[in-house]
Formats: sequence, C-alpha cells, structure tokens
Amino acid sequence: MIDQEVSRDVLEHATRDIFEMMIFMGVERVDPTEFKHLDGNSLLGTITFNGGIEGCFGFCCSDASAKAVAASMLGLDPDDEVADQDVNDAIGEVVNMVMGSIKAAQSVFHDVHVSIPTVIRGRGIEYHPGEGSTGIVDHVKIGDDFSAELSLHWHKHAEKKE
Amino acid sequence: MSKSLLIVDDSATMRKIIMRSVRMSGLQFDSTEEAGNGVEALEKLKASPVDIILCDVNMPEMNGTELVKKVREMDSCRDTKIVMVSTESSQEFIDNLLAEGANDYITKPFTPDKFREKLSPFV
Repeated sequence: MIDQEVSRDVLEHATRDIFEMMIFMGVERVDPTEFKHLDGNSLLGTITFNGGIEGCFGFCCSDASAKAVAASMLGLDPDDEVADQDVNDAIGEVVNMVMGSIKAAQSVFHDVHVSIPTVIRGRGIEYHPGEGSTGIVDHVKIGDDFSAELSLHWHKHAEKKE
Repeated sequence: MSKSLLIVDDSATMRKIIMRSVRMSGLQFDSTEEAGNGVEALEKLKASPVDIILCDVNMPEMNGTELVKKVREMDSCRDTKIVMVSTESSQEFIDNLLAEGANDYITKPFTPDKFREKLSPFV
C-alpha cells in the first residue's frame, strides 16, 4: 500500500532538490486552480518503472519552460538559443533524476527497474495514466515565470492466474 | 602535474552538465575527452589512457559496469581512477560497482562541491 500523501511529499522534495542543486531554479507547489494550463507547444518527459509495482512518472511543461530549464542546466543565458535535442535531453535528465530520487526515498520503489526516459513534443499534450492506476498529480511553479505538471501513477502487478 | 579526464555518458547534455560542474568545482584538467557509451570510451582509452573516468551506469552498447570490468583488464589503465555517476543510489548497487573496480560513486543530482570532494584525492 502506497501512501499518496507520502508520495506527494517525496515527489515535491525530489523535484525541489534537483531544481535547486542542478538547475538553480526554485520550485514551489501551486494550487491546481492557479496552474496555467498548457495550450501551446509543450513537452512531456516520461519514465516507466516495473517490479513489485509498475507505473510511470511524467513531467509536462511548456516549450518555453523546457527551454529555460535546459538553458539553466547548461549554464546558458535565458535568451541564448538552445538546440531542441539539448532541451529534450535536459527534460529527460530531469525525469530520470526525479525518478531516481523517488526510488531512493520510498521503500516500495527500491526494487523497481526504471526505463530510459522518453520525451515527446507537441501541441495540447496531456498525460493519461492507464486504467486502474492510482497516483498523484502536482502542479509546480518553476522560478518566477515557468510551470510544470508532475504525475506519478502506479498499479500493482496483476498476479498470474494458475 | 597534468591530469586527463574522460566523461562517459550517453546524453550529450549530461556530459556538458558534468563538464560544467567539474569546471565550477575549481578542479583543472589538461585534457578532457567525451564518449557516448562504453564501446566508444574503450576505443579512446586504447588510443590514449586517462587519469580519471567519470562514467554513467545505464548506457546503450556497453553499460558502465561492463566498462569498469574492461578497463580493469587493461594494463595501460591500471592507475586510472573510475568514478561512477548515476541516479541509482542503493548501497548494494554501489558496493557491486566498487567490487568490480570503480573507485568511487557520485549520485545524481550532484553539485560542483560533490565533484571536488570525490575527485580531489585523485588530482
């Protein structure tokens, strides 16, 4: 049994630590009603896990937010041009590191195998967990101007029937 | 004394981030090379051994654990120090890597201070 509130705290701390240590940007949870929904081009980074439980962590943000994150990670100025591949890689690294921190912090995730992250771009991208999943969705403000949606969903392995 | 560094990671972005963190740590290297996986790293090491390798664990072609084993079989790299860099942080996993021949381990996320702490003894 996974405590959703514990997972929410773990997810928030993991995300905050990574952004403070490696991206040099603050992260703060915001009320979903204050979250500016993504209606333009956006990126979705996902990483799946399986083992005792299986599921997916997703990080979805606007194109502008992703570019700002990548620029900061690479030590560039916010106005510098960042190649799309670098932006994809940076978001992939963010989901990889958040998932690694969740895995380390919450015992139920200790033994899961984690996939290589995948990043997709497009307009109006939304993350939908599979049927029967439980989990959490958090909205965060990144720095002063950017935001992202974090989703962590899981379900127990279906037991094989004899 | 001149020191050389090889950064092995399948993400070019992560290689740049590691390079930036090493620079910010204040440590200086006379030469820095990059490789995108274990196979590419081995080719570079055969051509020119380095003093320190910073190596990711999960990579296509040849992962970090296999690379450590191969490097430890090379006479020309017997003094090379290998520091692994990964999100995987379980003690059992780290102990296995150290048993295979890695010298130390840095967990992501990291700070420049972490590189200074882990690499200073080898520089």
